[in-house]
Amino acid sequence: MASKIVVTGLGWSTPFGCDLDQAFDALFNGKTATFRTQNINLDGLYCQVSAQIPRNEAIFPFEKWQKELPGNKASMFTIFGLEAAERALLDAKLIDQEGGYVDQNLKIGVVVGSGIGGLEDHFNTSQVILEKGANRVSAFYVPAALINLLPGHIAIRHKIKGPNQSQVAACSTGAIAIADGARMIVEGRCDIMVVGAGEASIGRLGIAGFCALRALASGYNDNPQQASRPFDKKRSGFVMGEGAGILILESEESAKRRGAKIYCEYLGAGLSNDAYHMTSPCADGAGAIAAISDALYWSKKTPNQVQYINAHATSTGLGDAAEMSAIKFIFGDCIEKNSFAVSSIKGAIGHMLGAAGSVEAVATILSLHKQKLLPTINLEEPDEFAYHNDKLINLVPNNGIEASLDCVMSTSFGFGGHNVALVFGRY
Amino acid sequence: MDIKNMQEAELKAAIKKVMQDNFGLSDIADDADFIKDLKIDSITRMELLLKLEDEFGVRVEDNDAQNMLSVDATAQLLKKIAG
Repeated sequence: MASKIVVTGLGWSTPFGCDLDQAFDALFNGKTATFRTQNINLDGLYCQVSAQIPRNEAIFPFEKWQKELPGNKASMFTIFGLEAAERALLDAKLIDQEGGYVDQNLKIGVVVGSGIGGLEDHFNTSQVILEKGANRVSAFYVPAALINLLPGHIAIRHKIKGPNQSQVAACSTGAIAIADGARMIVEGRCDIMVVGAGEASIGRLGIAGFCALRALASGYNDNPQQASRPFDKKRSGFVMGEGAGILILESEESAKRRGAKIYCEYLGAGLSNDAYHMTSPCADGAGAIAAISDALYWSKKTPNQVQYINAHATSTGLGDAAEMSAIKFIFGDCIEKNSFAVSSIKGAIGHMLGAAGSVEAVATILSLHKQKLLPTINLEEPDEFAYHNDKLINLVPNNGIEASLDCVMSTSFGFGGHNVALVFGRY
Repeated sequence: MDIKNMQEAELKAAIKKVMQDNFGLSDIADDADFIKDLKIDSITRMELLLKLEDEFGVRVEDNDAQNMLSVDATAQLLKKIAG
């Protein structure tokens, strides 16, 4: 049984690039990646805004992956996940080059999911059937669209032969994958786990589906950079993002044995379900309260020991309000004592759906590691719910700040009522 | 593309172009075995069949497709099917 679990590697694919520092700096400096959606026909849909990873080699190595997995062999959520995983494995020095194999003596596994997987593959393949006939379907369609082919490809590329599985839990997928991966180490099945999620659902079908739910931001097509505005009075829904976030979790013993760089300690996770509604959170935040309390219990922390929460904060009215009421319920005293901050990076990079939880976990860990809080951008007039007894919660508005951090939390909530809170501590 | 009016060399070049454009396979010898030499897996061979059928406007029976194991063999088969 592992006494402590630490984080020894990080990787991400974001609209600001895949370099950890470069993308963190963009977030810290309040940059935004929400623009009018490029190269996708969104005629007739009210939301034209998204946070795409620009199809630009300077941002993401599309050509590298086209060479590795040519001809639609892998879906884009898998490619974003593969790049993030490769970078995390390199960062942890578990491989020494791109495409390298892990040491076959290590007990290592993979838990990497996706909220929706190959949504655009389903759409494009359906088009082929309608236009050309059912016998024209690509042989790559099924294996490309399957969510578990993301962890499958990570295993194939890096020869990782331990436990391997996917999580699917809508917008809390990445966070649940981290929690489940950690349990593999607690149980002693593995010493090292590759955990996280990838998502690429910005397409005609994906945007249309969330437009139908009226979940996406309205009224910002002409000023898309202001569309994603967590906690702000003028928010009107979320902006869809895409990308991947991968962490390397490792037992302290294994990390020390390898002489690995340690970012922080993974302290624990809280898990709950609203048991209330398909898409709406309970208005009083009861499900979120349960997950956050559970996370504190397993982490052996009290509320006043947590200095920062990287909130799920999708910029939707119901979601933001429910989460804030949960945070105020648990951290009320801390808010009054001024020793506490809450922010969301979704204003900058939108909502990556299944990947959001793990990308935000990477951002939260980097915040802890660098002692810098990332800002909530587009925050002009905070909503009433951001006040606790007339005191405005520190939402780190618009500019990043230096901070002294020992213990931080990242929350994720998904359709289906899935609630997750992860806690990380300074090592 | 109309196979009937194509020279053999032209047809082989067209097959190789399909393999290059879709699967990044280059410098393929006419007699290289798709499985033994080029290590093309079975899914990719199914996909290649689909791409060739679309490119040349033909349909290949599954029994015949099993013999598409080199550029030479593929060209001969396509010629035969096109009549």
